[in-house]
Amino acid sequence: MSIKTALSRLQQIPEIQSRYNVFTYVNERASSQLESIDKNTTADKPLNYTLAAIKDNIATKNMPSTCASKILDGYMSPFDATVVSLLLEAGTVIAGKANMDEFGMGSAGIHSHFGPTFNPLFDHKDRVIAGGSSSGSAAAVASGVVDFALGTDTGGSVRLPASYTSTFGFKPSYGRLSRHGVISYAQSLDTVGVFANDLSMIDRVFSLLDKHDKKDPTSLSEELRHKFTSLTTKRKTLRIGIPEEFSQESVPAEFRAAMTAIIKRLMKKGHEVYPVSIPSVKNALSIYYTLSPAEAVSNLSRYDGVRYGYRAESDVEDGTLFTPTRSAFGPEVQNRIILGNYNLCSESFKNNYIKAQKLRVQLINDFDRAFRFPNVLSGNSVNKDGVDIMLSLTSTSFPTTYDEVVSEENKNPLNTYINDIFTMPMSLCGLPTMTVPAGHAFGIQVFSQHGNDYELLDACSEIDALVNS
Amino acid sequence: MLLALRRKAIHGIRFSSGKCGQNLSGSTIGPKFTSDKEVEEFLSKSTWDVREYVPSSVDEKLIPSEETVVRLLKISGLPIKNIDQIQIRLANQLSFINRLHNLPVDENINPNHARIIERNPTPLDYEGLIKGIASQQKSDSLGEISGSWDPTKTAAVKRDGFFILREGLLKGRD
Repeated sequence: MSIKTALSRLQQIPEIQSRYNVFTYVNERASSQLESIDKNTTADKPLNYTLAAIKDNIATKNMPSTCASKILDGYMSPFDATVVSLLLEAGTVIAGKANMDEFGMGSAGIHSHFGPTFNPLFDHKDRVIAGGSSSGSAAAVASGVVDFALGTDTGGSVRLPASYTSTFGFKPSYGRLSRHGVISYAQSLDTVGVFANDLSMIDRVFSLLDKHDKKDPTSLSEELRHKFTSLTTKRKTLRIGIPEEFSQESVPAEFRAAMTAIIKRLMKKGHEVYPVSIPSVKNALSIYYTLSPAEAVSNLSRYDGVRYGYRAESDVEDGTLFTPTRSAFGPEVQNRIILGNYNLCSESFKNNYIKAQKLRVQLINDFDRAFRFPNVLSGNSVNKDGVDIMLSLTSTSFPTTYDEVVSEENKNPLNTYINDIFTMPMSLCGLPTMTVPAGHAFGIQVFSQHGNDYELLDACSEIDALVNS
Repeated sequence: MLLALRRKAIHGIRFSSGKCGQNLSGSTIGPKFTSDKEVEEFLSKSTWDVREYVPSSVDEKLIPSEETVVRLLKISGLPIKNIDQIQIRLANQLSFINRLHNLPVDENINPNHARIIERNPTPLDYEGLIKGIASQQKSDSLGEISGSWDPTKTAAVKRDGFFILREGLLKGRD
């Protein structure tokens, strides 16, 4: 990393921004911040001269944090998120806040108060989507204006845009990276993730952020982290599972061909590959769309205009408090709030919410029985004949154009909900999962048991080498 | 033929997911692939189609009443408008999530285990709690700074620790 490279990246931002709408806020002081490192540095910091984009739902003290929503227009957090503090201490300069689907709700990157983000792999005139919800983070990395980006992944929001933009997108185990300062969408699923164009950068950033944080009640304790380390093994021969439920006839032939080629190469290298069946994966979408809107309702109830961001002229409409202010939520956010409240109503609570919770536990248990790395959190018995990692596709299709997505959504919003079918099961179980680019605008997912992040990273290096061989 | 044999083998070592041994779902691992052809055949088939989840038309039985939608909008703090559109959208969403109703589940499962946290943490005891309270410190980075925020700032009427909010907090209310 050099200051020359970093400054040259910064110079490209205005053009990239005008074409692809990557940022919600560009840090105009980034050049001077880089230059001040040069003058003041007495000791080398691990991420000196690196530039990062930070998703706009991660709090930053010196830049607005809006979740790409009108309701948080101009909001300045009084503190930095823990992950941001750690990056700044390590010498990173933040190039700007990255565009996103409002509050993380979307898989195409089109539901933003700041307008849609487009995919830098394509001509901007084609208006191809970058995927969401971490659309700007993926696009910032794909366009080369930053070294890495932070996103958040609730149901696939790091991995899907990584696939569409041919970047690496890593969602670590739930609880590995601090959520303190991450503006919640669905707190039982929200996970900070990392985008980069190469695995070594993902590794560097992840290792730096992988720390217990007492400010985050769901942060994995030091004791648990020690257990994970003691259980991690460097294996020459991996047992690799291919879950059959992640196979869909509708996927493009190129996707299937790439998966087949990678598996064949892994077998040739001596790894053992097994068919796996986890039928409960089919329930993931229904579980996710029951639980996540219900959690979102609670998290978004605080936006009344009194304490944060935008506030309407009046506080009452039709006898309901704060409706004029809350009308500022975008249509997709409003849809999910209504659905969440429906799921929490007494009539549907037992049928929907509790049932979904139980099915989520069942899904976790089913994955526990497929992996040989133990699930330290569940304490379920270990399957010594289980697999070490699993492979699947990340997306069901290539990214389409903005107009096509809007048209599909208008026909039926569920058409875009099913885009996340390959990513949601791992979110519900908190599994570490990486999208590894496997071709132009598509990638494969490599995932492992909760806590087994470092063995997963090693496996991804080998798979990446095979993809490029 | 090969795939059928493989599938038989997969089901031969099914693990149950429920503690009581009900075959509710479970995961299975089949025998190792031994040839490229087996891999190709396995990947060329799919056992289900996610597009089946998207209804081709709205199920009228699932359309919530206008009264229900108005109630949902009120508790959501959202404007009472576009009710027809919301009814259709909600019916579509419900067709999607109501699939859960017919799925078998082990009733002994503790729904609290759905959170990705330790299922059986060491319980807190009285001494531990007291120690924790004694060692608690204010954190500037959490905004725990005495006098930094006056929640009654906007109250014009306050006395002896009590206050009435008549303006400022709620605008435009009769």
